Amino acid sequence: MKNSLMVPVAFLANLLLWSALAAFFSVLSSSSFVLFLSAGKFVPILIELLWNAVKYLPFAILVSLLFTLMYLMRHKTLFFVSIPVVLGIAFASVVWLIPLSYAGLGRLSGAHADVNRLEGLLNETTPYIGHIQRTGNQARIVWLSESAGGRVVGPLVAVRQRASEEDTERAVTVYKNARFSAKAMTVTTDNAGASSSGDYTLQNGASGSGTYGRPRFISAGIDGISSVLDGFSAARSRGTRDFYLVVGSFMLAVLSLAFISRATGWRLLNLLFSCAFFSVFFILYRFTCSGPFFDLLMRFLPSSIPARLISPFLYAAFAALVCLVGSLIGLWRLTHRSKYPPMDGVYHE
Amino acid sequence: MNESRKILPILFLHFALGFAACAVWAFTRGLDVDLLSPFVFAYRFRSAVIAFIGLLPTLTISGFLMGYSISFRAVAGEAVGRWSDTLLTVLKHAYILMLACLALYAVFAEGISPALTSRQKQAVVLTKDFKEYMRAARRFVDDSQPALAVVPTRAALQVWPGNKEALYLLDQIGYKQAEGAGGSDAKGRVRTASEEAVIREASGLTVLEALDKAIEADKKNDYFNAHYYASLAARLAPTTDPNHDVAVRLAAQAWNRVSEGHDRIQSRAEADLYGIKRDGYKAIGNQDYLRAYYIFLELREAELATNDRLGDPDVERFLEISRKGVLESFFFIDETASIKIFESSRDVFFVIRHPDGSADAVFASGITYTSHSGTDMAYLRGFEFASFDRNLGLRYQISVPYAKMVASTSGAKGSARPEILLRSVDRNREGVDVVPAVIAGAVPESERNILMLSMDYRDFSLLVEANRGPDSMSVMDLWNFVPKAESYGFSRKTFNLELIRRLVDPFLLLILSVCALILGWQFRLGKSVMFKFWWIFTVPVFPVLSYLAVEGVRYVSRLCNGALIALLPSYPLIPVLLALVVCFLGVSLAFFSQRSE
Repeated sequence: MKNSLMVPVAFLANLLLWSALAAFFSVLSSSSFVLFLSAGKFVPILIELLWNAVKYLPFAILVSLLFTLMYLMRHKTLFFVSIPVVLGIAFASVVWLIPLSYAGLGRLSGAHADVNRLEGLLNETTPYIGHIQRTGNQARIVWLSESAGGRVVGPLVAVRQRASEEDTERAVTVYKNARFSAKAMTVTTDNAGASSSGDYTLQNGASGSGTYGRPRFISAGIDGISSVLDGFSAARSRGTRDFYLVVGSFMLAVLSLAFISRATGWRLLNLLFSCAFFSVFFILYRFTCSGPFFDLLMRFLPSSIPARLISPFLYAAFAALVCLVGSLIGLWRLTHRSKYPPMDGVYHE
Repeated sequence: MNESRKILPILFLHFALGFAACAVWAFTRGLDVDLLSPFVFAYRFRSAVIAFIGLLPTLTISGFLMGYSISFRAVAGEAVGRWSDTLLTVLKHAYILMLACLALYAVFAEGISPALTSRQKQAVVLTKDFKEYMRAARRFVDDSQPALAVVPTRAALQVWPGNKEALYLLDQIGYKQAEGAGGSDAKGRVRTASEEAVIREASGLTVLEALDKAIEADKKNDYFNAHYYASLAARLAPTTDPNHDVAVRLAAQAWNRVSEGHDRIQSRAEADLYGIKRDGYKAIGNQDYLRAYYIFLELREAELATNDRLGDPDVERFLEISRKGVLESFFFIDETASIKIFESSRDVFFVIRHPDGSADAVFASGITYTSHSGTDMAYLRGFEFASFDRNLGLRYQISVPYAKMVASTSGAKGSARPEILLRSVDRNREGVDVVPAVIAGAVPESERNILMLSMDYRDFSLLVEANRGPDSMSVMDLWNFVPKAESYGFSRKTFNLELIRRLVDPFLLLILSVCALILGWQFRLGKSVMFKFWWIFTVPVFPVLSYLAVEGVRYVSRLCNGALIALLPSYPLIPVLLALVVCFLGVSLAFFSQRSE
């Protein structure tokens, strides 16, 4: 009974944790964070943290639900208590928590816009003096001083990339002056004091965001999360019914992982399968809304089904299939109990 | 119970399968670089080893996760309470195993992997060089300049000994030269006097020793040497030293004798020879070693041509003295012939910011390190230099095909500085010089032949490494370079980030290993649940997910490190290490505080 009552606590603890983590890391990975931190401006950071916590709340809810299911897998609970509790949490999330996050975003949008404006201003005054920068055409440039608020730089020393080792032309060009655009991250040189002129586009910003080397799978994950959240937002703007259909079907798909989390007798494998399916839900979402797969489906499905309902239909169909197969397997296991012991290998009455 | 021993087979299986997978990948993938055929196998093998080293943390974490999840089945049915001895024992043994795996990884990642990566890059560069040498050699042969084709062909053969095409080309060159098409005989070239000159150790005499040698030479009527050593003693002794006056007097006396000698010689030929020797000696006295070198070289070659190779000891001695003098300010053009294949770095660029606001920009297309008589030196190919005054106006910009860099301890501060010799001269012919081309501005007289960079000599090798990128630098190099990065035009933040990344990586893996232990416990196999055969097919999923976890945590760590560097630019390492210790203790306590459900 105790474990069953702990289900909402587990959900809320996870919700807090994942909201905080999502907000913290999305701010940490943004180029603005380092700018604000270096400039000693902490209020914009707090606003950004709050904005991201609210923005990623639907994602945090879905992850928390997954981990609540993992909690149920690991702990013995009363079936008739824990299942209604989980369903109640999911229902409350769809009808109350997720719409609340969108309302919160609307309230914070003014402050967020101010932060963006401040970021733009800070970006323009970023010092690059004396740092060798790599450019888009594989050259390296460095300027030793700047004036006019960083818009005029010079002297500029540019080292071009040799075409081949046979290329014996000199590599270094010194420009007396050049113009730097912080917005476009380009340096435009003039001919004074040099034999040639050239334009250089800097590879990385001063924030050094490029130096963190974000792994591709994380980028793919973030893109997936964004596409799902954008899908929810678009459905909300279309109307309440569409919103409930889209978010509800996604929620059902996540809830269906309860069956996958009990697919085998090895809990670790169940955890991996559940996490893998959960990730796939996010990564594949965009393909269920547009693209070649979506077009193919549209060709086979009756034209009476609106395009906007394809994605909810697919997620609901997946959930239904998993529930059906899972229920059948569960019933079969119950009837063959001696052959398929519980996961911890101990029978509990 | 000793779960650690039980997971060893799973861990080794992971390593074995991981290496096999890396080998399959390395030997089956299409090469993304152009390589000569003798380099391909070694390149692929090194790729496999490098990939395996990169995957080692992933395999370790995966092995821990899977191994402990299975081995904890032994206690699945038991009631294990919080802070139990059972978990403490597991944790203790797991730490030992983790530390062993981490030590292995640290040795591989910091010792073996950089060396292999460097060899990989070298193989690519050598391939490029080989093709360029062959192309150049063929062009010279086609243009009927076989003598010029010898050097690139031989250089190509140094890269790929026994290459049939290069050997055939060398034969062709030999035939063409034999036909008398022109050029010197590359194979049977007569060695010149300068090449036969014996390289002697630097004198390193004291004032008294030099004075003794001068008196001794004076007694033997060897007035050139008497003057030379007396002058040397006079230079070495301070003016307050009584020996200084003695040396000056002796030098003057000897020089008078040298001057008188010319008048006493009756034969015209001998008088001419004596006059030339005196001119050469005067040049040495005026420290015009280059002129003296060619004078004595000419005398030596004349002697070799006429006599039975028994040279005048005066000529030999002063040729050697002048040669050493020349090498203090110049280097010989032939020193740089075919050294390109030994280049260890290319396209090195940095700036030197001086405290007074002035700056220099330094670029070298290629750098070859070498040592001679225990002295380290480097040849800088395609050397370009721009100097800016304190108002950052361009003083001058020069470029030279080759420059020679040595460590110079002359000057203040005592630390060695890079001395760049810009002018190269021909070993045998006077007037064949390679001098820097002035692109802009006017070069001061004092910097036309020798350039002294205002930096520590040891920093140069750090800068060469920094140009390859922070990830190719060793931890020690990074540690030394971070405080200096800004003054050489590099971002301190980037190098600091890399240094911290490398230092925290073992700690991160240790924390992840304990997390794997926690997951292994929480999601352990049931007591009476048998390991099913089909589960084996899911085994590759574990390394994949471990890889995602390791890379994800590393990325998050980089983000946190970046934030700490922005917040505390001077001392970011201390809070990072503190945070890691707290995390490590936290996860260890989290494991220890678990119990059976």
